Amino acid sequence: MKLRLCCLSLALFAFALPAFADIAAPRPTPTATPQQSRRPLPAARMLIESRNDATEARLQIPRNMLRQLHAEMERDSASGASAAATHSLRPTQTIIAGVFLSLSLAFAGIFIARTRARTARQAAAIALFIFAATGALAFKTFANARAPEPRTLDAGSLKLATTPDTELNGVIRVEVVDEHNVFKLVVPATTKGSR
Amino acid sequence: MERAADIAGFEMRGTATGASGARRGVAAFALVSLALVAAAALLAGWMPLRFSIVTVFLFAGPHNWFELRYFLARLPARLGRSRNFFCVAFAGVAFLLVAYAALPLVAHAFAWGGDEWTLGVGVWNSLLILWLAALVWMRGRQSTRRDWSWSFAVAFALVGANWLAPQMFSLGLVYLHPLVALWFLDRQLRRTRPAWRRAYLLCLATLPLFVGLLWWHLSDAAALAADGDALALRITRHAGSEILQGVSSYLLVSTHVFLETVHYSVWLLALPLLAMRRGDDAPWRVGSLPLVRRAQRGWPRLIRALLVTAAACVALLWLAFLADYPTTRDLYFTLAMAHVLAEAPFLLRML
Repeated sequence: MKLRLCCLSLALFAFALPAFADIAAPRPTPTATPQQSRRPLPAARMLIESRNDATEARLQIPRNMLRQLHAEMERDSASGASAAATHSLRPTQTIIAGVFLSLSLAFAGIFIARTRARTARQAAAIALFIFAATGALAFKTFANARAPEPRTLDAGSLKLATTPDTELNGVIRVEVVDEHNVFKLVVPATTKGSR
Repeated sequence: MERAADIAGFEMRGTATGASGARRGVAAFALVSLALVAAAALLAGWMPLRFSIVTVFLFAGPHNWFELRYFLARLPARLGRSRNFFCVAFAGVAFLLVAYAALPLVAHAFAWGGDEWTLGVGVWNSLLILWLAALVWMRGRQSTRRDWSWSFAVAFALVGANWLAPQMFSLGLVYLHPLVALWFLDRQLRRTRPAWRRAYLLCLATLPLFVGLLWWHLSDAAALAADGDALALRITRHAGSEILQGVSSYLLVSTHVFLETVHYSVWLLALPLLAMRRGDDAPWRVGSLPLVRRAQRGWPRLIRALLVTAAACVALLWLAFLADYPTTRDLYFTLAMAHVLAEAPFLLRML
């Protein structure tokens, strides 16, 4: 009986916190520029290649990245309603995750109520306690926390392409290719005296 | 009287020799295991891409053959009460494998974007977890001493967690799968060489140490594949460089190839050698398999043909790797999902 009361209290504790957790986030300032937006920008690999057979500089844009960038631009320019539609999966994910986490709690409760093995019951009660406590702490911590900053990407050996005080410039031709996720800048190879 | 004393003396000497021999065996096992793990960590940290290419080429195919041989040795000739368990297990392996292979094809055919792909991966992961939960529950029902109905509560929690980040969950499987081999080895030692288990657990405890050393040494290593090599891109993607974009791809590939090498070592060295030391047949001799030995209930010809065909597939895989390594690698890691899935029911049977 004590164990059941304990489990009921824990369940109440676990479900009470989310009710307080869902406080509306502060309204974003209308003057926010895209640079100030916290949404992570698409990332891709960049390759600079020097070719003997190239006659002009050429920037190759992967088709999938172009599609992604196009979607980003549409999202930025769309109204609130259409922007919500492009994010349709995120609420779906949240709902499915919520349903299954609730089912998990329900099944754990049924297991504790039905099992005859004392050890199994104690282990399940401890697991449920840890689960509830972790969940509650996570709700408390992440409830209205800001979205994480996008992590800094490693530029790899691209840093070697320029020197700190020199700016490289020139005219390039832009083409869309089927290569996945790799932007490629093909530059004609430097021949003797061509600089 | 004198003869009895001689016999007693001989037995004591024999016991002492046996005990020292056993100690030498345990020490040799521990030293060889540690040396292998250390060598794997060193090579994985030093030249991850090249080491990954070489290990997959050399060991990927053979380790699948050895797994098949191991599973056939554990498949009873008469399924009895395990019939439903194995039916669900094999149906699940077939269905999940087909779904896994079909997922990229469907995504390509219908030009899926990121959201649809996330949905597809989330559904596949959920089906995998629910299938595992069903197997755990069925295995629990085979004994009155076990109540494993907690499996559904755990499975639903995992499905919930999966839906929060499906791609991350899949990546978790990529890194967790190599460790399953260590669980198999533990169960095998418990059955056949319990005296070695303590040394094994000590060796196992050093594994996080090696992973920690790799992470400490490579945490700010420069990214791999900056030269845009297609194969390097595939390897880094497999290790999760596109999902964990803030983590060095050098570190990710090193960690993955280190764990994969440990996995290959267990299946290709530890388990076959343990079986041979126990007095079982060499892996290439299939006469001791229950399905071959029991001619009335088993299928000796079918099993022999299956193992010969699997060996031919290993040779074919080597040729395919030589012809077109990147494509074969993609194809292999898609079809290799079969052995990843098949490990679950056979591990459960050993618990």
